Amino acid sequence: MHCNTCITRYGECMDAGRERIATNLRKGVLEYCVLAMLSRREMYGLELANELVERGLTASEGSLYPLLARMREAGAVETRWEASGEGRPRRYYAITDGGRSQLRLFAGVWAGLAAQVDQLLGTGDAGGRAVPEIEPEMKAEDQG
Amino acid sequence: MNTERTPQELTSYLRTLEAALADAPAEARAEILADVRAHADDALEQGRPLTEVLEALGPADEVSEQYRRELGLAGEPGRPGSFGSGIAQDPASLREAVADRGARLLHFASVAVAVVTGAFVAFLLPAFAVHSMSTGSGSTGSGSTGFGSSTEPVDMGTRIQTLFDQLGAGAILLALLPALLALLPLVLPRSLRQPVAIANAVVVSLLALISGFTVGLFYVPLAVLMWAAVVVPWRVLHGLDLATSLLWRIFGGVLVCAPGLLLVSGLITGTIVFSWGTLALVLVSVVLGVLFALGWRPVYAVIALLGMTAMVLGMVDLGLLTLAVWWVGGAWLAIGLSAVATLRPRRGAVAP
Repeated sequence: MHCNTCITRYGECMDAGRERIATNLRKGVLEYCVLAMLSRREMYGLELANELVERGLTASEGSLYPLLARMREAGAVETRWEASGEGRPRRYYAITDGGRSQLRLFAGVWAGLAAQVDQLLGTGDAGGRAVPEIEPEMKAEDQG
Repeated sequence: MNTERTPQELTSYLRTLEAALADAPAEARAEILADVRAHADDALEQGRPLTEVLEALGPADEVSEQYRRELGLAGEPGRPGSFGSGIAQDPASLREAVADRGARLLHFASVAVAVVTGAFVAFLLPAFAVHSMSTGSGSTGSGSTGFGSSTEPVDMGTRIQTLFDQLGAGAILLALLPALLALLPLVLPRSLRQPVAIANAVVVSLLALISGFTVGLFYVPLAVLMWAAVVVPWRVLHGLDLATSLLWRIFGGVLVCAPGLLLVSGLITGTIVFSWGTLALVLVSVVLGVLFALGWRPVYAVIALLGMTAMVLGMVDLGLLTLAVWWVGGAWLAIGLSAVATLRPRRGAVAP
């Protein structure tokens, strides 16, 4: 039994589909997750990467650094070198005032967006069954 | 963990990354490499195996591609989607249409200038060689007006000997020959256009050079125009657009200014006596040159028209400066038309 659209076995197709949706959604919010983490404290590259991976907010550590480079260019974050105890100096990332105001803007947009999406999916106040609804459709496609 | 010695795989990963970002600003590239290297070093220190660390980072060319996207660098050659490149390239078809239209414009102008030059040389211009010979011998060949040959060839009312008087119908043939040559690129198949245009430009240049001390100098504007008809469409085809090419505009602007600047240097050294007319000429040429460099489109046609007018005036009012006026007019005509020939159709309009 194979999926018509992505030529993988059914189970893998579900995984691939889930991964694709997650990748697309994460793309837009990763930057603000980084800002939110830095708003708590300064962090160095690997710290950020580890936490993002732990939280499932990024699949590839390699995409973090290009993002940081752009945020630095845009003035949302700044860097400084700090001698770390015994070893070589580390480069720490810190949020700037500009970054904080971006984060506030994002928080407002996100709250509105999340509320609307939750409501549509029926997982909000109304409570409902919208999420499982999607799956039979995919199964039908799979058989057809 | 020994961080002094960098593992081979990490070194080659970083090297690949560096090469893929070779065109990035040096400072940005150094920061990128420092970030990725520090990440790998820290991860190794935590005891993660190198292969796993590099895998988690993703392939070096993917990371570099993400950097390009985030930092707005142009896409690598051969990769679709270039980021941050300011001006969209003209489609090749548009460039072809503009080059074709420009070529026809300049070839038509060449025909016109060839006809005018031929008429000028054959019927209006004193036959220099014959004249100097006859003044040398002290007698004229025709003597039809009774004035005979005077040392003032442009004296109004003097019957001036022209090539036509000397050679009769042969002069017409001689005069028409360059015009016929100039017509060829317009009537021959398109594949022959460029080779014939080059041959024409070479022939007319040689004519101007060989007979430089007689009538040849009057063919210089035609030669220049013919070279423009060769070069300008070719450059347009390869992406020349005056609207975006400041360097070419400055080059053209300086050429347009040149007569004015020559007048200024003449005034300074005292070879030219000051007159308000001279000053006006200087100002006009400088203003035209500046407007050209600024890329104000209407000025291109104005320069071409003024050039044509100057040529006609030089023809009608023969004098010491005839050749100079003829050349300046020819230069302006060639520059103005060349600029017009590079113009893209305005938005929405489609080139024929």
